[in-house]
Order: sequence, then C-alpha cells, then structure tokens
Amino acid sequence: MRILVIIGGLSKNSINKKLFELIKPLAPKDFEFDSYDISLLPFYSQDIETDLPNVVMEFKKKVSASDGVIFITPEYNRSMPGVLKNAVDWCSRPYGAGLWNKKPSAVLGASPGPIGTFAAQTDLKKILSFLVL
Amino acid sequence: MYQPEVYLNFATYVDSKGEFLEPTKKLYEKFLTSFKEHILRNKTV
Repeated sequence: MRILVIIGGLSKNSINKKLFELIKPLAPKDFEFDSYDISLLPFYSQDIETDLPNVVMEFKKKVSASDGVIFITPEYNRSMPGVLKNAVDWCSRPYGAGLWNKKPSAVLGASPGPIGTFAAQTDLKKILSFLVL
Repeated sequence: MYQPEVYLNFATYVDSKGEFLEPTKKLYEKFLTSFKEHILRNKTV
C-alpha cells in the first residue's frame, strides 16, 4: 500500500518530522511510505490553475497514486500551518476535479504544548470532512 | 476519513532519547493498523 505522508512542519528539527520517523517502524509491513516537501509548492492561485507548475503536478501525481494519506500537523496559533492548508487547497482544485474525494486519510500531530495539536487537528479534520476524505 | 483521537504532547510520550515510550508505541501501532483496515474497507466499497 502506498501511503503518502504530508508533514506541515518545515523546520529541520521539526518534532512532526520526528513523529513520522518514529511511526515508520510501527506500520503494517505492506505500508510503503512516500512523502513530499510541501514547502516547494507555490501559493495556490486560480491564475495558475490551468498551467500548473511542475512541482504542483508532481505533488498531485503522488496524491493520486497513493492508497491513503497521513497528514502530520504541528499547531500554530491554535490551527494548522498555512503551508499545509495550501497543499490541501491545491489538490482540491480545479472545481469538480479535486483529488481528495474519498481518499482514505488520517491525521496526526505533535506539539510540545499540553493539548498536543488538538486545535490544529480539529481545524484540519473540518476541512478534510468538507472535501469528503 | 479515519478519525481516532491521537494528540501527541511530544514531551509526555517520548523518552529522554527521543524514542516512543512503550504505551505510545502500542497506540501508534493500533492507529496504523486501523488506518490500513480503513483503506481496505474503502477499496471494497
């Protein structure tokens, strides 16, 4: 099974990147993890939707080819990072041809704070539910 | 979407070497196994 992992933490020492490394050996043997550096994606704009940048096409191919997606989100100011929302937005477009529809997905997150990304995950799940993931 | 309640306070669930504590390992093993079952259910619908 091809599992795409999308991590919202970009920093070199991100604990969410560390979380990904820690869950890898715990996964079922037939999970084949792939990831994508979402910091490469430009900000979503309808203006470039018809002539997609290569990085966006590459990201969309990975989403499309995956059997499931795991989102790993940090929490910034009681929500998800903008870079993660941008990645979600790219694959929800163009209207009527989004890639998220019924794509199996799961959400994880780690933070040093006491609520451990509860607010970020709640916001992300609200969006993913709207996109019928 | 697979929606378990897993909110990780990193300091609480990871030991001083940065490795998962044993209960945390079990939590995530269960999470990933359940996610696989969710994917398989989705394929058969």
